[in-house]
Amino acid sequence: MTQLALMIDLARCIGCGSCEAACKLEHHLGPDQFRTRILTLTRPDDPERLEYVKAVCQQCERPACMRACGAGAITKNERDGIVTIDFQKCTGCQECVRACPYGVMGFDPRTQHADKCTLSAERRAAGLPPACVSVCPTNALRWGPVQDLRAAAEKEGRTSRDVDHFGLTPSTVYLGHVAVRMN
Amino acid sequence: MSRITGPGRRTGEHLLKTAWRATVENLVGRTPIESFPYSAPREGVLGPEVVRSGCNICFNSCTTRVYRRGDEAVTLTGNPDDPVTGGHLCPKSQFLMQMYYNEHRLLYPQRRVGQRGEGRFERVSWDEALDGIAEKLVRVKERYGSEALAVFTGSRSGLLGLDGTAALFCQLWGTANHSGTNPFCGTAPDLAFGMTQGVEAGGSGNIFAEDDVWAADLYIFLGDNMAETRPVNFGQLNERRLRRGARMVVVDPRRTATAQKADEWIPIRPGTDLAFALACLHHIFTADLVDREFVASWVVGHEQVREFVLARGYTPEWAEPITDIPASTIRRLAAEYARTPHAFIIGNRGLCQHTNATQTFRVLLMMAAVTGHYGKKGAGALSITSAVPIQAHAPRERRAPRRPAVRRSPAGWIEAMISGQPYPIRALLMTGNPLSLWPDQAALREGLEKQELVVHLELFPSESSAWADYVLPAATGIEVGEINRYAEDRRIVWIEKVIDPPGECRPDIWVWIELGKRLGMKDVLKEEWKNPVRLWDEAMRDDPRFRGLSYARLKASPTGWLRWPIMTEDGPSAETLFLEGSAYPGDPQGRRFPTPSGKLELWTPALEERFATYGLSALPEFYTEPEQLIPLPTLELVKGDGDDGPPSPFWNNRCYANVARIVPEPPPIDRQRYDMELITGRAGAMHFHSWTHWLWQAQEQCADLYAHLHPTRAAALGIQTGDRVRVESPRGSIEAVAWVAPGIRESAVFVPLGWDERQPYHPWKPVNWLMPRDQRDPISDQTNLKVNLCRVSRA
Repeated sequence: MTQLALMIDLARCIGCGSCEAACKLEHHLGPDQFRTRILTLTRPDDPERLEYVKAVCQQCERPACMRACGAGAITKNERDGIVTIDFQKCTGCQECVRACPYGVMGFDPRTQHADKCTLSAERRAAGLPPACVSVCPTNALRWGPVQDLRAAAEKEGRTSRDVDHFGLTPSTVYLGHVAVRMN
Repeated sequence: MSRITGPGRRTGEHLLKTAWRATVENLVGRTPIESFPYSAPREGVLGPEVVRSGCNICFNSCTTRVYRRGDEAVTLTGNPDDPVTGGHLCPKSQFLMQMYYNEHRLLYPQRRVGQRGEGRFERVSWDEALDGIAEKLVRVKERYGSEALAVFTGSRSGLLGLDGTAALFCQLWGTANHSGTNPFCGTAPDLAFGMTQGVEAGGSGNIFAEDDVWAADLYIFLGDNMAETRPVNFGQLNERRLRRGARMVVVDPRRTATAQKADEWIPIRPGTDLAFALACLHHIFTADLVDREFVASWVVGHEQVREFVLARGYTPEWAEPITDIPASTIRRLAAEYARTPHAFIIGNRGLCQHTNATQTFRVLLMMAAVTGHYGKKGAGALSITSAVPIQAHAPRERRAPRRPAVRRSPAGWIEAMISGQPYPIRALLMTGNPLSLWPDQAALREGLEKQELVVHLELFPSESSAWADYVLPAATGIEVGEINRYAEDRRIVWIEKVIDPPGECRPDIWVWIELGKRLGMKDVLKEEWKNPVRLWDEAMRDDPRFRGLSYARLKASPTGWLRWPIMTEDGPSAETLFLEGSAYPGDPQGRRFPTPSGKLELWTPALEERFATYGLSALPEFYTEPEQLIPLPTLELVKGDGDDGPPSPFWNNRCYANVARIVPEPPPIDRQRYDMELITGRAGAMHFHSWTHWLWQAQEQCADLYAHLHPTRAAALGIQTGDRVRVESPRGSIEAVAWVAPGIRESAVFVPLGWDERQPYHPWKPVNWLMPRDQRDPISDQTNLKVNLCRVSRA
């Protein structure tokens, strides 16, 4: 399996919400339905500063949502590692929504089923990048096989933030802040 | 997903419960059109037919690809062939589907049946509405003269509406009281560029390209939240900055999204950028940081400025208590700027909306000039200007005589609407949303009560519609076909028509031509100019710098845009202007800078004479707003809005101006009671002025009018995030929801603009109830919207 993932650059993200908008436009999501959103948080390295964090499915190796689903509606795609919901099987019980410690499992309040990021499966099938990646004004989003993303980050001398607080081995990569000092 | 943070975002209440609340039923001639149909099944990923077009919400002029199926637009994306945007888009462009297919759209003309402001209307036909308006206009003209008509066009109307048909109408009718949003936006940098380099339109001459704006080693932003106001342009600039390792400094009372990304944030006292810039200039002069060779060849008036700045003692130590910036920091930044060959100063609306705006921009340009950061790739002083040399002109013999406008700024029209001084305004035709966005909302309503005719032409029923006698449904953007421009980079985008407007919505240009027909103007406001392509090609490109920007060529451009000047139909597109050895395009004398001297003019006797008309000097004396937490020099009006005032020389005497003098002490204000600085600006990347407030997804990203408070100050006031707070100024009071977060001066509260009392989802009384209308820069007529004193308490 080649695990696909997003790489989110905190040094570049300005929290503009363009990725949220692209996601909703592409996937026809309505009010209160999210597959991703921007959180405005204080920076762990400097409480006087804010950072903008794109919350989105972590495409975990051991997804909590999958374990919580009694209907067997959530699987990890064998080919690309994308955590996927079968809407036919989903009963809308929202156990997965409660189980996700990252708070990124979405829910469609009208059709009553869980809903989540697929890295724009339909677009990828048509040879296009995920919707959010295609619009991001600051080039803060990249996507691809996770080992390629990590290799690119290392080559650029960037450090990624450890977000594996729950032992689920998340795939999404968060690159930390950088600062340019005066010569 | 449940966790929701961020200013203005709602935590407890779901948008679904409020999204379809119909508070405006009376106004909308309702045939239900569902807002962009989420959850609709779709065929394929993108639509079958692609049309290159553009976004018309703001002035970043992002090009788009609109996908069409049959008569409908199904989705849109960025345009990857655009080298400046790189195919990226901000959230607003992606809300466009919700604007075109929106259940709140005005669909039919309506006539008032209740009292003004009550919002009760009856449906009428276009003929009934336009006949009625024409008849009323004739009566107003007979009674008060042609100049009693004022015409305001908001940015939604586009330049074809503003500088095309509305301008022609006003020329034939005989009123100079015609304005777009420029006096609230960027008339000050326009004038500063004009005075210094001889041409105001197009800004500094730099362009957004790999070897120019993107190639600097230092970016100093002043009063410019580029990340949230031009997200794509900022993102692409910041990408290059990070790759190059260039430093970025932001001088702003708030740690905006731009400042969050910067290497250094300097929380200046709002309204004192002029003092900061003067102190930088002082240090540049005294520490021998002047580019002597450049100054000797290309700058005039620097001796007078140098003597003045030194004689006044505008040292960094002088500026420290005024700006709240340590003198050592000012010295360090001035030296860093002067010694970095590739460096930009970028100043925008945080500097514009002040009474000292023109002088502040002039001093920034002086800094650029004396350090040789001018007329070079990768160096300069940038600002978004408003001026674009696009203008329709009626034949000379058809133009009616016009008195000078009562004032350049619509804020200065309010007095004429109320008291009839210096002469009465008795009819107002408006687009946009003045009842959200003009200052002194109480006085504006008083002025509207005195009008004999008020017409509002817009997409959505707003507070402004409620005060109108006729509400007309407008069409816009891809329903019409029009241009957009990114003035900082001289890009012109053609926004191609893709779909038909809903209901009986009509383009602004159609409305002006139809109204003109009823008033004997059809020989000039021609029927065929209802076609925007013909209007653009036949009426609006008189200026030689626009000769090559035909519709055909814009349409054929793979990038989706052209950069002016293009002097001939097939000539090359200009790149960076004012380079050494070059001549300004079209300048008959072949000068690098098209000023009288051919050099950058920091001070001249002619300039001094013009400034004297306003009671001021061209030498940049420091002053700021009257309402500051410490008393600082300010302007006192000698002649205000009710007086005739002298014709304004920087506006070709086409409007009257205020006259002022600089006084060392401001008028008294109770600083015990009004103990905080009220600063304003854009809510975030999701909103642009007021029209995004009818788009549900923008509401989802920022629903409520918010008040950003520093945690320390909020704790002292007993306020937490989510609390309802009252913000009071001597002019009135509003309420907002508190957002407590670091990244703002402790003494300041930030409240964004753009809400109004009749918006469908989350109506709020707008912050402009607290703004004065008489605190204006006499030269540019820009209004101080950026610092006033206020009191914040729990509501």
